[in-house]
Amino acid sequence: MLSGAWYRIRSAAINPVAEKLFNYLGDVIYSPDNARLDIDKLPEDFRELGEGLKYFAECLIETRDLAKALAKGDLNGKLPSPDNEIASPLKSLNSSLKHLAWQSQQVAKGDYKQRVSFMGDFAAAFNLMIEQLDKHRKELMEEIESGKRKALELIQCNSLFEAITAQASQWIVVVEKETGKYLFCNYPATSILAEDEFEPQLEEWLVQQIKSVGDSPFLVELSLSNGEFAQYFSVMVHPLRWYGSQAVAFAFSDVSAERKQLQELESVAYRDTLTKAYNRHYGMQLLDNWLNGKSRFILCFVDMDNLKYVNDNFGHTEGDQYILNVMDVLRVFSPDVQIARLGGDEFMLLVQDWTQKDGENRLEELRNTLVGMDEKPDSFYNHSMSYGVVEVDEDNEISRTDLLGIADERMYEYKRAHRLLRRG
Amino acid sequence: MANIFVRKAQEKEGEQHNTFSWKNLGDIKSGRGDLGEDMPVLVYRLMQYTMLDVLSKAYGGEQANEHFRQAGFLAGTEFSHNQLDLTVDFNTFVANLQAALKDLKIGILRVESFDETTGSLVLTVGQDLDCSGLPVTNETVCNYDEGFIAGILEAYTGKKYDVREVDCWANGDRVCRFEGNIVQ
Repeated sequence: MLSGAWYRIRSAAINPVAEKLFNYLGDVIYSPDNARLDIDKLPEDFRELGEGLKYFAECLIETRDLAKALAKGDLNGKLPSPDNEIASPLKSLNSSLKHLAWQSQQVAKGDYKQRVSFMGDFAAAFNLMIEQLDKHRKELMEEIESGKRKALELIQCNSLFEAITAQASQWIVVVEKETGKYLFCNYPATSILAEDEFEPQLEEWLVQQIKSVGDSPFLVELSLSNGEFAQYFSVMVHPLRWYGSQAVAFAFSDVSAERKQLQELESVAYRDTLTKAYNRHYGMQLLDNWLNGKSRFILCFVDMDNLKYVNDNFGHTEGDQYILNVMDVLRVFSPDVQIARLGGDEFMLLVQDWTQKDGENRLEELRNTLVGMDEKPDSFYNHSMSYGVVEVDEDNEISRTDLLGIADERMYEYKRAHRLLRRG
Repeated sequence: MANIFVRKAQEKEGEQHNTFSWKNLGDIKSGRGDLGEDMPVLVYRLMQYTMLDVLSKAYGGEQANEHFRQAGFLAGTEFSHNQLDLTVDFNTFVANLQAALKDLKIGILRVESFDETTGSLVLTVGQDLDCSGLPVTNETVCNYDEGFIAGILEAYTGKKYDVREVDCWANGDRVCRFEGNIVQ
């Protein structure tokens, strides 16, 4: 182990001045706090050398202090004097590090134009880092701007959507596909769903529709009834994503008015205006359909008796009433009877799965009902009708015209028979 | 006979060569077609230090230094208004100034600190046109630079600056450190 002043020499063989200066240099290097050199005690010839050594020692100590401060990362320590040439490189290092610190602070504040030109590889890495930071910042800013724009667009779209859905007469309901939970209802839909009569029907219908939803929108019809009247809807069904969940949007358009209008148009086109029975045109079409469909049914040809007499003697208004009375009687033939008025006093009845015999019996009953009207006090004429029935089975080969001819013939036979009967 | 055209032109401009204007620096490029716009630093210093010598003898060293400082201030002000964009933010201004000083081979400017609250700053100029290569002594010699930097700072900030050389050292080239503070 070395003792405290191991570097010092003491020898009678060495010149004492040289020994003093040598030990002073050792002190400067190894024990600077204890380095003392009294110039006045040096021989005259050595005094300038002593001063030079003292100045050198001061420069060295200053330089070492600066080096120590730099080693600790302290850039604000006391700097060597301007004429200390030995310290120059370290002062330059101190200055460069200070400039680097300032540049780093500017980068931290967001100034990515700073470029370092100090310490080769470090500068390259630092500058690359700044470029990357700048690039990422720009990308981030673009993303933020893009996000802001999208958010604004969404707000605008949502605002527009809310305005439209609030104004729309359509019901708009969005339902979560998996759970059937309502995700969105516009105002009209909310008020309808609050009604106990509709909500269960609608919910059941929605659950059924959800099961059949694929990837594409489709149109379906819906009717809701509260017992008294029915509402008809055309419903557009859209599959969509709603906050990450699969959902189904239903847009209900109330087509009840259109349906009613259609029914009125159908009535005009297909029905007799007085009796509301089918007209001749539709009656023939229905007969053709049943024939083509190989149905089993009966065709009844009914002819009112005395209509001309009623018209001539009591006026057409009474004649029309007579026709309506007959229609009322025929309507009770069976719940599924199809009645067409073929002409002024002619009706055709089509009923599936009846036999000729059963049809004739039923018509006879109805005829009796009609005849029974004669008993009424305000009846001034005879109510009666004649009929002919043809049974058509699945294997029928007879044409429509021929079938009508047979029924007509049988009706006339009936009429003749009853006329003779009345005369007799 | 005096040149009436020149006299009239001078009257119109209100300027003579003993009153500085940027315009009167002339068209150096066309005026020095063969020799070009550059010249050795030696010539620059020859003029500067002979002038300092004459001024020092005439007015004393301290007064001569003050004249140099004022000349530097005028140069810094004119340089800023004619060569720099004074509307940009501080960092951009510094970056532009660094580039301009380097391009014109005036020196290498580096900022060590800037206090945004007080406006005080510390900067260094390396390989300085005025003093790099001069032996380092205890006296400060960059009086012209002090004024030059003060003129630039005042032109940019609109505030009066006192700039002093606080340190210098030689490391092959000479580096001078300056402190600038706003004069209250």
